[in-house]
Amino acid sequence: MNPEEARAALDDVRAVKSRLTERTRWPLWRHLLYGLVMTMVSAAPAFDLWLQAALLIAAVALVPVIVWIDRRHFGMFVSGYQGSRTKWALLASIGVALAGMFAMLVLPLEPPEPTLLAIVLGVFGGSTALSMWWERLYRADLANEEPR
Amino acid sequence: MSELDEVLHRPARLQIVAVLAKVDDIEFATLRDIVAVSDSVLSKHLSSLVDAGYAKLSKAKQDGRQRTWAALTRKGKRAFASHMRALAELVEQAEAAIADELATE
Repeated sequence: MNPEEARAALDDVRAVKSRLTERTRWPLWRHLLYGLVMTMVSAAPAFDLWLQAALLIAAVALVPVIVWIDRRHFGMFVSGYQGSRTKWALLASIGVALAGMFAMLVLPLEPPEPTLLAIVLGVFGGSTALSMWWERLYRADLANEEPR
Repeated sequence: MSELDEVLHRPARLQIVAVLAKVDDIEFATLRDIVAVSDSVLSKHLSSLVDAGYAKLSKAKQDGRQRTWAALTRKGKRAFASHMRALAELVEQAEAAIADELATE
């Protein structure tokens, strides 16, 4: 292969990644669904054992449902771990969920405590926003990524 | 110095692998639309990638129809990364040679 052919091959890869970028746009409801799962996991410790178990089981059960929805609606599944810059959004999202969980464990919260509601809403909003940020990073990586 | 991969030499095949490298799995028709090839061309390239151990295919029923899903294997990911590095090195070397030539004139 000569350098011109190599350059053309790299251009082809950039072109197809650009077409993939156009297809990888997830709607708001999909980000809200992710936020819901993270909030369920994060808020579980605030409740009694049965409700805790129910929330965690429901969150775990929602994961394959999300995979199924992605495959059906978008014709592909892209998991959160895609390396590159997206890992920062993923780590931040895990951090938000863990911080919420920690607050539930250490603060003497009882539903319907306003502080509890504020934490739940904070985790939900934060996780949803971080999911949207993840998408932006993923699409930016697709557009700009160079071979390493 | 990375080595070029014979399996990934064909442009359409390289594009297919470039898409597979950025998703966990993708449905046949979606991949076909993104790569902009015919069903038969995509089938042929996917078969070659499966034979090389670079891709895996699975079938799943959706809306009453059997659909094919493609994913890249670990071996395929490594081969793609190495091939992309080799392509980039080839271009960089050519650019460096041109720069040297211009500097000596």
